[in-house]
Amino acid sequence: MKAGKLVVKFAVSLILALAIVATLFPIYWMIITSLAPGEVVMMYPPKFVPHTYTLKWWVYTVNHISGPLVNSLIIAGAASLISTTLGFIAGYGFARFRRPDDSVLFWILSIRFMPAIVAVIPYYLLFDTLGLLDTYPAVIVAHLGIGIPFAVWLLRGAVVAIPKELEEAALVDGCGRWKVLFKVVFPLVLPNFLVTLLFTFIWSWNEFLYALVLTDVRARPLTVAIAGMREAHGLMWGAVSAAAVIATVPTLSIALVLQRYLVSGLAFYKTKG
Amino acid sequence: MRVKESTFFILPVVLVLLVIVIFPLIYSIYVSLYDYDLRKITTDFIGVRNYVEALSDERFRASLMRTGELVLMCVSAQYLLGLLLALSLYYHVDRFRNLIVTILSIPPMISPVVVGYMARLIFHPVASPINYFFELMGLPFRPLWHASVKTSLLTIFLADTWQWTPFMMLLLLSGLMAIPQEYLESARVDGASAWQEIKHVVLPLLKTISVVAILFRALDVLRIFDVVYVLTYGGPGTSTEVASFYVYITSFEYWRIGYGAALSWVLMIILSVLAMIYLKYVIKSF
Repeated sequence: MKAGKLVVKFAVSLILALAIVATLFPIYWMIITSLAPGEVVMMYPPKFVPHTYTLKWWVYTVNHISGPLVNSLIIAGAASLISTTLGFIAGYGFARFRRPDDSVLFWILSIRFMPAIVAVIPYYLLFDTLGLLDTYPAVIVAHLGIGIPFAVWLLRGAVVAIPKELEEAALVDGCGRWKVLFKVVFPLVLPNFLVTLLFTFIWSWNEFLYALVLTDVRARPLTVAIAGMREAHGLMWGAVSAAAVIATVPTLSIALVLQRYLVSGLAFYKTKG
Repeated sequence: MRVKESTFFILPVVLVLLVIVIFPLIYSIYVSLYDYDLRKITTDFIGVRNYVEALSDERFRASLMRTGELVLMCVSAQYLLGLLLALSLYYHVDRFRNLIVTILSIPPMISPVVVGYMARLIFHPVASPINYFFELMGLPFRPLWHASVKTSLLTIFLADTWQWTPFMMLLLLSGLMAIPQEYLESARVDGASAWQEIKHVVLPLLKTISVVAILFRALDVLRIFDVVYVLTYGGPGTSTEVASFYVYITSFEYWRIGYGAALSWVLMIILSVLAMIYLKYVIKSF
């Protein structure tokens, strides 16, 4: 019995250790590639710890992708702010006035599963007609289609979780619904609002297919720029690695901030149960 | 007439979504009925001929089968691995659980474009660290990964699994943590072994969250595009040409947009029908 337990304990530790190594190694490898001189990636056997480091790929990359970096910030910033604001208003409406199995709510949530390839074809033609190809609004609008359903879903849940009594007291005192929404409800769901904002930001920042089809050079975000470096700089693994690291840093920092919410959410279930 | 109060909150979003999602989708159906080709000057109404062509398009059918294969591989492997990790963390890790969960949940936050690029480094045909590891272990295989027709789809599967197994793990772990402690205690009082406890108490209680996790993942893999674009661009040959990628090539490389729109609707219909059958079947079996 005791030996059996030890075996299980050992197996579990091994599984988790392998999972951690498998998770971190590709990230480590990408960072090393961006810092190592020459074509280290082409070496076999691979050098897991380079002897010398260089910043030349970083200098090259920062000079070449500053445009796409700014584009990504603008697109993801606008898309997340608009989605979350609209999602908050609608989420409140659904939470307070509609049943959880409301058909309009179901319709909105089902949009999340729409394949991007279906929508990107008409977007391309419509934005072409409007002369909006390769502009921020084209990509932002496309991203709203996914961001809004996501925000409605998260923020409806957040409003449901807060007690109605506070709002009712304010209503009795003569506040209008909109004033209640922004003065009473908004401060209460502010953490959820920020979490939703960050999640939609990450999603928009990471999105590829809409951005690929709807932009060319001027409005091109980072993901498209990185995918394009593949052809233009076929052998510059260091430069592409540096760009990939730059694209990953903001989402990872945000993810680490959100982790607290994720874990506290999990802990919440446990103490409740 | 008094307008319902809820309308003021819900209507704006509904209107926005009608304009930016539903209108384009309807426009896409309209386009799919035309011989719309950006290389040609004229565009003719051809009715459902694009759809008829789609049904007999061998390359499209092959891409659908390949996508289905990928869905089965990804969803089953990621579900089992995610379950294994979630159970391991739930039963055996206490002090470091948050730290490990934090580390393991990094990949889903990374852009699939970056993941595809990382996979190009890790599975580099000449200098793959994985192949070096095989060599160290004395294993006889040196696959060419995404550069070979034999292993290219497997490489896509590995990249997707690296990224999304943690998603399964997180959902299942939250399901585990929501199980009331009394259930487990009463099972233990009745003398259930750890294995019996997992099989007869824990797994049935995880059913709902499993359905949700599997559905999410299946629908995501059905539309997989980014990793394929960066890692293999559908190749070598057409060995990793998944449905979304074939539609993309048809529309934006061959510029047959009308036909591409028709293909995308076939994909959309298959996706919706599968999702509905799955949900119906699962809801029935509860």
